[in-house]
Amino acid sequence: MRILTIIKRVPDTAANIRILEDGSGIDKTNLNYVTNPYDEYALETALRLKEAKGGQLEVLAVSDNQDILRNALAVGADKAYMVEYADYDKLDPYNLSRIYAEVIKQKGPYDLILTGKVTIDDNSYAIGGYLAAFLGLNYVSHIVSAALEGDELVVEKETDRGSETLSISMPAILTHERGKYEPRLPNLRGIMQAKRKPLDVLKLEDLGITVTPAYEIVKLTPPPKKEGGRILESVDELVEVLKNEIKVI
Amino acid sequence: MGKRVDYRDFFLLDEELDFEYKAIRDTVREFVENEVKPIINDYWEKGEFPVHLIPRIAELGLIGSYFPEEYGGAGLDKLAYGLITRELEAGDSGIRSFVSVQTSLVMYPIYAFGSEEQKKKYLPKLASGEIIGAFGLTEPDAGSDPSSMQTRAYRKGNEWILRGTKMWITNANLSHIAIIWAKDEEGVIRGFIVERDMGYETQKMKGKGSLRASDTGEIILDDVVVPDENRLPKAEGLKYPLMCLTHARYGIAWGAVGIGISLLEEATEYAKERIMFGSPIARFQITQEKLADMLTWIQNANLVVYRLAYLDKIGKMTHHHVSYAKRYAVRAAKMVAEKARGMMGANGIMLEYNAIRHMANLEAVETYEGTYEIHTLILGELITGMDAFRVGDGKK
Repeated sequence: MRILTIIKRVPDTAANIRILEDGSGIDKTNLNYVTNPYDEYALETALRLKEAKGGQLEVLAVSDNQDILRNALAVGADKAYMVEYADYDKLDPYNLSRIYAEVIKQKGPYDLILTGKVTIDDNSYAIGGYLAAFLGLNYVSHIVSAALEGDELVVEKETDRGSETLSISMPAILTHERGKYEPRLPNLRGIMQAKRKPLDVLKLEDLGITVTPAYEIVKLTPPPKKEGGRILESVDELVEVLKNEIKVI
Repeated sequence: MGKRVDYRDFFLLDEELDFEYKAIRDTVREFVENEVKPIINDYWEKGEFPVHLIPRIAELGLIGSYFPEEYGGAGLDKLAYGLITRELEAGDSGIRSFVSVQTSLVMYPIYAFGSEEQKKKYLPKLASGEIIGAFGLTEPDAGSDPSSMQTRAYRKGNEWILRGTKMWITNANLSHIAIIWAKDEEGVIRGFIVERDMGYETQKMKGKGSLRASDTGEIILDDVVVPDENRLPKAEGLKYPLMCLTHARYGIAWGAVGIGISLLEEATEYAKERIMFGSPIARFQITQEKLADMLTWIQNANLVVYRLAYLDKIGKMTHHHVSYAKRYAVRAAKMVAEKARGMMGANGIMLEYNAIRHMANLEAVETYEGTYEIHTLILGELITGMDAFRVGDGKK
């Protein structure tokens, strides 16, 4: 079985994001980057599938930095592709998906493609849908786990009507919700082995596609600051505020 | 505006690291954040080592990282080992001590002074955490002066009879094997790999006010019979146990930096949140002076340990460099801990914050593996050419 996991490099979720004064983007000084957390869950599921049934696990990112791909190799992926693109963080999901799809066409076929349900930087939720459409693949979004039962791929997803167990035929694409299991940390041997694993750097020219961004970010403004709370002196005062100020009772 | 420097990596030492080193640092840092910090205070209060972490520590490859892969190591250098110990000790000195002892005091002597059979038999199992080791050098009456040890090894044909007591031994009660240093009948110090079922007894040392989340005990050797094949063939003399200590001290120096940086961070965050007299205390000049001092002390120590790693890489590190680093870095961490504790006021004495636990731990860390005073004498001897370890022996 050949599996591809698509991952994206995003600012650390714990980082304090500062916006540049002119609103043109975020201040990248000393900014720490991580693998998009939902992509990490996708990678963990891919690793578990590979460990259970064998096969080849490859990872793909559009980026200007190899670190997240090296990390993926360190936890157990076999091969990585990086499509070099400096402004990857500003690229719209349609064009990003076109690049992913082109790599999949040229380097595939894959039995299964996994990625996060969303990337936390642009919050678009669009990649899975675009790829399924571009490549004509079966698609389940927001899965929490996946396993192979014989040749059958069984996935679980949480919905408002309950936890669904679905059987899906491959080739397919799955996007991952926060998983049922935590992504693993790379161990030292894995980190050292990652150095020796193949990481192919591709350029858009090699893939034969050109990208015209569908939109550009005109202005970025920070979210409103949280206002401090108010300490009320008595229950009477609370009732007064709820009744006449906020008018909820 | 110039680039804003991260005070935690003031001289961009981490920023300059290659991918593997950053990845190793991040793995250990995440392990400590997610698996050590949430539980460590409970274990510290109970006075127990969290044994459930041993398989995780081993699985992540943190034991024996600088030994070749054929012996269960990760084939890494001492810079990686330094980063591992730095990040582990930001969690707790007890966790770092476990890894230091297993790696530098148990695996190292077997690797460096052992036979090929001994290496094959013990090293992979030590690296995988399947067996735990202890290092028996210190005795009730032989601490800073190990040459005065009382433990004896009597040769009897193809066997040795070991008799004596070792004290202040990390991992003693957890241990399956112990590296025991003993004097033979000619007074030569020799090392032995003694297995638990050969008959050594251990006793937990209770009532510690420091390193409470570390296992400390006595090892009692009451005529324990050890086959000659368990003697470390290449170790004859005091130099050999001291070589082990050099490696462990190297990790301690790095570990102290881990404590200092994490406490600088904790105190800074606290000072920015804590309002007194209408302002965050971080705005007060006295607080800022404290923080600037803490930054200076610990980042100087960070520069020292990075330099140490480089000297090791080019084969020029000596035990003098290690003494300098252990002495300075631990003292720097102690000074940082004291300031951090004070800055957090009454909260600073609570285990909920980390300063008081680190502060207490550092008392043991400054004492073991060569006290501050012993490292002072080592450096004093280097500078003056005169050994001040013994007085009144007629030397000039």
